Amino acid sequence: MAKKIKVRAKMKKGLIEVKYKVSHPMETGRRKGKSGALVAEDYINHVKISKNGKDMMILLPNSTISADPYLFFKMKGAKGDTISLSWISNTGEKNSADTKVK
Amino acid sequence: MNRRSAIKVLIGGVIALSGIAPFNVLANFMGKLKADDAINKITGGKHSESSSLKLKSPKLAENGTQVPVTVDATALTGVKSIFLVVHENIKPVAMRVDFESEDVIAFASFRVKMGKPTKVTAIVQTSAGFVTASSYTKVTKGGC
Repeated sequence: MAKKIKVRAKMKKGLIEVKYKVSHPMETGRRKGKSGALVAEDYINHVKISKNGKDMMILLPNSTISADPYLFFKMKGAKGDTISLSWISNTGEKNSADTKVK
Repeated sequence: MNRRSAIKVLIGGVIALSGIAPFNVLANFMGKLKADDAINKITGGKHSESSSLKLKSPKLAENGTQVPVTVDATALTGVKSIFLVVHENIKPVAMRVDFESEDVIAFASFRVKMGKPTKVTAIVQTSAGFVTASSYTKVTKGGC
């Protein structure tokens, strides 16, 4: 199942401002589903941010991060740089997205 | 080797190469434990509060499933990683951010789940040691 990654990367005051919204349920394993059974734990636990193929940040979220994780950060760079995000969940699912800085 | 263990080995390799603690060490404080224990495990008991580290979390959050939190450590130098601890959550450590490059500004903003009114602590690892800042968020409707 493809999960969407929304991204906006823009130059502002000489810095790249990046905003991500990854669609993911981030199940804690404590919520009960419609059938009354617990929904299995399913959350992103490893995120890598890179710029032009070079590692910039590694994030290790826990299941207590909100559903559809939102992330905002800044870095040095220039227009036209490629920012990419790739994530892996505890179930082994993964996805990635590249974007050009506007 | 099945798919899952293959991925674990792959991640472990990537992390080991980049010089960060491997996953089994990490799991020690990412799991279910008391917030103070988690903080001590991260810092080794040595940490000091600082007003140059800014942690922004709302005083009152109506919806505990989406609480915006901002950690701003731009006033500190040599920032290596940021940890966010939500004291009343069953798994108190919500996020760990490791900065791999000088290009990244020591700043991060994201949304966290909170079960009930709680103290929030940001821990920043700098080259000189661990620095913390705390705030308190009141949650009217829990979401954890």
